[in-house]
Amino acid sequence: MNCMRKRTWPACTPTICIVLLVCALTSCVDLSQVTSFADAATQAGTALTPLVNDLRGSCERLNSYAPEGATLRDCAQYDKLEKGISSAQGVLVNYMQALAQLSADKKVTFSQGTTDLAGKLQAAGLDATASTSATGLAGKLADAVTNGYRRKKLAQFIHAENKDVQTLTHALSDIFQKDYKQLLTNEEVAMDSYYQRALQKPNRDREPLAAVLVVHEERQARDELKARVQAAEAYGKVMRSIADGHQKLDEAGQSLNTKDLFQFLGRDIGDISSSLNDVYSAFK
Amino acid sequence: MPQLTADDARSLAKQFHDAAVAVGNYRFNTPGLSASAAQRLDGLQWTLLNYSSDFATAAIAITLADVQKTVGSIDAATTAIGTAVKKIETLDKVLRVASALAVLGAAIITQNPLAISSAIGGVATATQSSPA
Repeated sequence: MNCMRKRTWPACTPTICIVLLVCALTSCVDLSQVTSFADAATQAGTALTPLVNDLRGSCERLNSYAPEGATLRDCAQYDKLEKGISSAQGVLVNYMQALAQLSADKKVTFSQGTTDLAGKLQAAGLDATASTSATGLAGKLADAVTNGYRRKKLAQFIHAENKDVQTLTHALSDIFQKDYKQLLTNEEVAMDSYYQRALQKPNRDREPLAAVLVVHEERQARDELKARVQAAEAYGKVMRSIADGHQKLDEAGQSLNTKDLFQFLGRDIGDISSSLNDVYSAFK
Repeated sequence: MPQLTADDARSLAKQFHDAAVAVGNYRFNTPGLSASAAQRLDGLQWTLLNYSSDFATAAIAITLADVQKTVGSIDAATTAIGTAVKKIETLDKVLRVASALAVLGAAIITQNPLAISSAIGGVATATQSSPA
C-alpha cells in the first residue's frame, strides 16, 4: 500500500476505486450467519428423528397400562403417520441444507484456487508487485461476483418460500406441541389409573415388597414421560425458531448485510441449540 | 356434512381426555365401590382415552394432508437452490479459465516464448476442469 504511505490521492485512486467496487458488488456481505442458522436448523431436523418415531412408542406404552380385558389400540396406524411427518420434516431439512450450501463460502473456491496465480503471472513476465496486485484483485472480484449472485439468489428463494416455511413449521410444531402432547397426556392418565390399581389396598397388603418395586417403577415412568413432554415443547421451540429466523431473513431481503442480522439470527440459533438438549435428554 | 378440521379434532381430543380424567377421579376417590363397578369404570375410562387418542391421531393426519401442497413447493424450491449452487460452481470454474487466460495475455504481451507455452498449458488445464 505505497499509495497510502505517501498519501498521494491520485496514486491511491485506483486502489480506492477497486475497494469501493468490491464493496459495492458484495455489499461487504457476511453470509456466515445465514449459513450458521441454516446449519443449526438442519442439525435440529436430524436430532428430532427419535421424537417423530415416538408416536408408535406412546401408543405401545398406553397399551401397557390398559385395564384387564380391554381391547388394545392398533399401534401400527402410527407407522404411516411417522413416515408422513419424517418426510415433511425431511423436506424442510433439505431446504435448510440447500440454503446453507448457497450461503456458504466453502462452495466458492476461486480465491483458494488463485494462490499460484501470482507465480504464474511473474513467470509470464509481469513484475512481482503487479503480479501480486493482479492476483489479489482477481480473487476479490471473483468473490464479489459470486457473493453478489449468492446474495441475490438467497433473497429470492427465501422470499418465495417464506410463506410455505411458515406454514410447514407451524404445522409440525402443532403436531408435536398439541397432538403428540395430547397422546402423552392420555398416556399419563392411563398410567395414573394403572399404578393406582396396582397399589390399591388389597394388592399392597398382599405383596408389600412388590408394592415398593411398583412405586419405583412408577417414578421412573413418570420421569421419562416428563422428559418426553419437555421434548415435545422443545420441538415446537425449534420449529418456531426456524420460522422466526426465516421470517427475519425474508424481511432483511436484499440487505442481508444489516448489522442486526447477527443479533437476531444469533438468538434463533441459540434457541435451536438449547431446545435440542431437551430432546437429547428425553431420548438418550 | 362439513369435514372435521385439525382444530375440531384437537378440541374433541381434549374433551374426551377431560371426561376420562373425571371418570378416573370418581373411580379412585369413591369409597366402597364394588369390584364390578370399578371394573366398568376402568373400561369406560379406557374407551374415553381411546377416543381422545383417536381424535389426536386424526388431527395429525389432517394437518399432514393440509400441508401436502406446501411440502411439494418447498421440495421444488430445494431443487432450484441446488441448481443455483451448481451455477456458482460453474461460475467459479469460468473464473479459473479467465485467470488462466490473463496469464496467457501477460505472457504474450511480454513476448516470452517459454511463458507463452506454459500459459497455454494453464488454459488447457483450466478448460478441462470446467464443466461441459
